[in-house]
Amino acid sequence: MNCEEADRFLDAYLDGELEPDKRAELEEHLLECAECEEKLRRLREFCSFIAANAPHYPAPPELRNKILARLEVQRKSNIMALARQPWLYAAALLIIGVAVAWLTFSPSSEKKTADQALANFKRAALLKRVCDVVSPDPGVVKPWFNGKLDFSPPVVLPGLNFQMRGGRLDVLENRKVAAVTYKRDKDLVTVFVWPDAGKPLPEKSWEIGENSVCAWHVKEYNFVAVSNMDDRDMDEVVDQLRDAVNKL
Amino acid sequence: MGNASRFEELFLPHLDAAYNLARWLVSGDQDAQDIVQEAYVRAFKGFAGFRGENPRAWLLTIVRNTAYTWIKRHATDDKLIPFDEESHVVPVETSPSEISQEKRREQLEEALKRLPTEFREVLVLFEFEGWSYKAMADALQVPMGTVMSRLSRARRRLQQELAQFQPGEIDDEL
Repeated sequence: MNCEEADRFLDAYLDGELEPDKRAELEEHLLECAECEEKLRRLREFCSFIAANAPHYPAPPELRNKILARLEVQRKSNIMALARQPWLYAAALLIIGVAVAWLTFSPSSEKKTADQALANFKRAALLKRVCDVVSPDPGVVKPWFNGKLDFSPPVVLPGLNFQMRGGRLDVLENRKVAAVTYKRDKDLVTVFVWPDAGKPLPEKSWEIGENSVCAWHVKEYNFVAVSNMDDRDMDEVVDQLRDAVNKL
Repeated sequence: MGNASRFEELFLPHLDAAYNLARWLVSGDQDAQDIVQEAYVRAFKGFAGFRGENPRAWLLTIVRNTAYTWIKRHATDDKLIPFDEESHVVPVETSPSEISQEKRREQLEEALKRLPTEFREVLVLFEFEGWSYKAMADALQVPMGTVMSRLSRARRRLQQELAQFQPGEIDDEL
């Protein structure tokens, strides 16, 4: 290493920032060159002079509060900027929309019960096993359920235009229920009955495909009636059945 | 809200260093205060990008960049123009007795102010802040070699500036 090169590396050497191989070369040169050695000594002195005398400006006391105020403004404008984002409103509307749609269209538990009752009704017709006990007489059908259920279902003959066909066991809402089938004109109506057990069905009716399904609640019993008659006839039937049970 | 107080917790302790750097880069108190405020706002906005290693270095880099933006905006100033590095090197005797300590301090301050901003910057970061060459290279976005030569030139230039306060000694040296 010559003096010119050494001169370039003196600062880094002094600062402890020179890479090892260059450092070794420089140190070798310094041993031989009194002039560079002297330069290094002066540089070292000069640097310690700077370090010892470097004026340092402390922050003025008011600066801190100015900054805090600016940050506060920034924080508020961040919130305002967020409020100006159109996507935020779009997202909020979407969430509300989904919530409303969910509340509107999600199947309620009654609807599930109604669907299940309808499925039972169709399956029984398909299997031609509408009744396990066939009789037009409630006095025959009602006792047939004894021992097969943990309750004694109300079995009624609601009107002269009704003809009882009989009864069977079925399953609704994960429990055994009584299913009593009537014939009214040409239409079959199956009425499912079970104790409400503290969960009375609200009165509701559905038209599902070509079928009508009605739910109601009388005297601690839940009722779901399924038929292929239209909903006006179905309403009449439901009224008659409800009256008949009330009179028991 | 949690973010905001964490921000203040991390960066307000470095207010003195931030102000000192800004003050050295632009020299006036009001300008330095404006720059530091602006830098804190910038830091706040960019806080999400802070990786958490070294708040002081991160903040000071922002102060430095803010100061440079400010300098460019107010650039009537020739201080960014690099000086002719081949100028003669004048070693300064730093220990003559007749000049008081107070006087030397004033002279150093005055000499530092006369340096181009680029030189003052590396001196302030290295000598006052104790940054490594690597840290300066990252903050200034220049190669390490540039940091090395810039700091070296800065010292020589500072020696020259100081020498002007000591005409007698310069004559001796020449």
